Amino acid sequence: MIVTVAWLVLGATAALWELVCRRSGGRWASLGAIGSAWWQRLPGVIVLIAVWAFVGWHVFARYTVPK
Amino acid sequence: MRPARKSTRVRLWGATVAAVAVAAYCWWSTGLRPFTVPAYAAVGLPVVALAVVAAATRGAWRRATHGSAPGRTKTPNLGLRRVLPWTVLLAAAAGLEGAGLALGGRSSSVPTLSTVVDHALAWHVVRFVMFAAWLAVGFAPTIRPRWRHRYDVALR
Repeated sequence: MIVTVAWLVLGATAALWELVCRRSGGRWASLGAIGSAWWQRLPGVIVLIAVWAFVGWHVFARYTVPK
Repeated sequence: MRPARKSTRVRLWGATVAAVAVAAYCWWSTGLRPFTVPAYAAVGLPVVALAVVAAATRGAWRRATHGSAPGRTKTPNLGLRRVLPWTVLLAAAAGLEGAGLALGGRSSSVPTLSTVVDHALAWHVVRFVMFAAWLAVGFAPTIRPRWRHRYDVALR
């Protein structure tokens, strides 16, 4: 239970930090900015698409609903 | 009717039809049984589509962000300090995931991220929303190259 809460806190922190980064005027790098930087080079594009594809298959094609 | 207004209307209709089609695809694909060929294919189709769109729009994106002159290309400076909080969050997530996997991956006391997410996936509507979000995240950099220009300007 504690670890489940820890995951939720981590997710909420990430979402909150993304908002802070977007309002920081460039002081902190948001995930969008990091993704944008990676997207500039072909290896970065390949890595981003591969990670995105892995998440898609793992979450939507290989899930098991706990009983 | 003025051509500009007609063009806006056509674009609005096009966007609406596209949004409905994408929503229908999200609903259909998240209703498939996991670990089946259709489920893998339903995720694979957007992956192939993104790869094709990314290849086709890379030139346009480069022009939108850097201009067409070769000397104007500039890689945004991320810097370790600016990404440090993300590194800390990633390390914390990796630690939790590692602990969960070390305990077999299905521990109820130390669940992995997948196990936590699996609980939410019991509802079709949650899967639908998550699939739509996944698509939005993937295609965001290709839909409007100019959006990304803002991030790059902020990084300079």
